[in-house]
Amino acid sequence: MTEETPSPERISQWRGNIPIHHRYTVGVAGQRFFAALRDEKVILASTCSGCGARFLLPKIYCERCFVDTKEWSPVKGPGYVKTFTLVHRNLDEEVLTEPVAAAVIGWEGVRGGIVHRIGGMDTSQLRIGQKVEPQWREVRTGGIADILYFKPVDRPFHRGGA
Amino acid sequence: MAYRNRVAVLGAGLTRFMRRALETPKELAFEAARAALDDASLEIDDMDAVVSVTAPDAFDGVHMNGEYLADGSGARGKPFMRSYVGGGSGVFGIINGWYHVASGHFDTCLVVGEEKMSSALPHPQGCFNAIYDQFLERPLGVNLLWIFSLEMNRYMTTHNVPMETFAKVAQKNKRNGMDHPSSQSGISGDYTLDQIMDSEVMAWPVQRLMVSPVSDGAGAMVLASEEFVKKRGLDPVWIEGVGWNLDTSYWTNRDLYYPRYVEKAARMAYEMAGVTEPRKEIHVVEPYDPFAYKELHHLEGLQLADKGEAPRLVEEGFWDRDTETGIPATPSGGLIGVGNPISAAGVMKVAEIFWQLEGRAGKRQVKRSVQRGLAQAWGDLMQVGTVVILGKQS
Ligand SMILES: [Zn+2]
Repeated sequence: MTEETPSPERISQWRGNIPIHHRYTVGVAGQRFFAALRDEKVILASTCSGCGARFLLPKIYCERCFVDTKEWSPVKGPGYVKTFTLVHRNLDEEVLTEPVAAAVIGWEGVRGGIVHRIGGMDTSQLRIGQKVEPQWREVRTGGIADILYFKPVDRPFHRGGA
Repeated sequence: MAYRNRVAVLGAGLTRFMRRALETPKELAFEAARAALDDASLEIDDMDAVVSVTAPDAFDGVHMNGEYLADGSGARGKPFMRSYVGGGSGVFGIINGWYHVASGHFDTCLVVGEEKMSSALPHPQGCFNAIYDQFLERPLGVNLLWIFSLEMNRYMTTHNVPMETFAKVAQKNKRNGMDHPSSQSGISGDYTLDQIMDSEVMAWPVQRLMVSPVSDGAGAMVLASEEFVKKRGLDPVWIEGVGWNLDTSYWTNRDLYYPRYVEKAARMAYEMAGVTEPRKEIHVVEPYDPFAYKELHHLEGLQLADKGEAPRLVEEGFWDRDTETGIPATPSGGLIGVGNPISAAGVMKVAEIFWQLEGRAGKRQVKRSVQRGLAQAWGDLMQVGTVVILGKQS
């Protein structure tokens, strides 16, 4: 092994990239899910035609039974925080001025969940089990960012009574 | 060499191939895997393991594409393995599935090949630049068309093959593809030789109608052990031989007129299958045909024709689907007549041999009787050969 010299300009190098970018189709299930976010402000779950499980994010198949899903219906009531983190650095490892709260949000009776941000509260008070609901964007384009963040539907839990 | 299990093929399934599919890669994988299970009259719970094949991650645009594809491939909660040898991946997936079962470790294995090339913009050719050496070749803007045209020129000049012969291969495959239900719209058809020879020159001597298209699609096959087959009283098609081989990745250091790696892969498979006279014992063949000349190049590597003889046999109709004395080559229509979602296209080739041997190829069924067939793919830096031999024993 030979360590790189501390003067990069002295190393012979060629800078390249893979000269492509991507256009991802959201797919058969995604078309329906994102249209419902945009047009109806609802989060759709799909139901397996075999085992009857309802799951998020919806798919055209049940990964357990490996058969088609048939019924689609909106999740009802508030979701709840299954787990969360407070992010202090961004994608490029730069320090954020405010930590960002990210959580896995689930719904009773639904398998799986959605990863999203938590807002509209003092996130230092965020706890697992917090009940949340979507804060919708005014102008929606049919993407996951049509939900700005999930916000609490009741007061956050407090430590030690009160 | 001793294997614990003989391995049978119980089913195959393909999506339609198309230029731009709405389905996500996972959804494509599901459609093919579900079709293969239905073809075998089995369910996902009958599968002990799952093998995935997909070519560069850059096409689908998902790093760790195997893991991404796993749930759509039926792999949730199962032993799962992805293998990748570029264009050779589709056939290699069947080989990988074979040794899952041959090892004795699994009674069944589902193999799923998927490719969604339409995600890559401005064109998937851009992905191919990055498979080359980053100092010597990538700065020149090299892509696959370059390298194929260099190889084709070397082949046609060495053997003095007229352009019209390559056009006849493209014509045959595009006609054969008309009978394939998966054929990509606008790819198969009854073209005249003039139409083919007058098509756009992409990188001389490679022309548009002698190249396979960019495609989205998936294919899957169900493999099982002899014990599994016996319990169910089935009389299936068997995997009789497998072979794979990798030549140097310094492609400038090989003589491009002949694919040694295909010869080595074929000899490995023939030895395992006990085939000593391939020209008599192989009754139908699916050589990899991303370019018209590659079909002939590969038929020679497979020892089904002498060096330089495959083009002459084109003129005799030796490779035609309705030949009675020759060896029908690419009765499916191949990559030129059906489409080329890379890993799925390799699976499609093995599936065609499977359906031919079962007598279920419909309008594509070859005229001569067939007991044994061979499918081959090729890829990486055009130096990998992958071969599967299937046989029907009564
Ligand atoms: Zn289910």
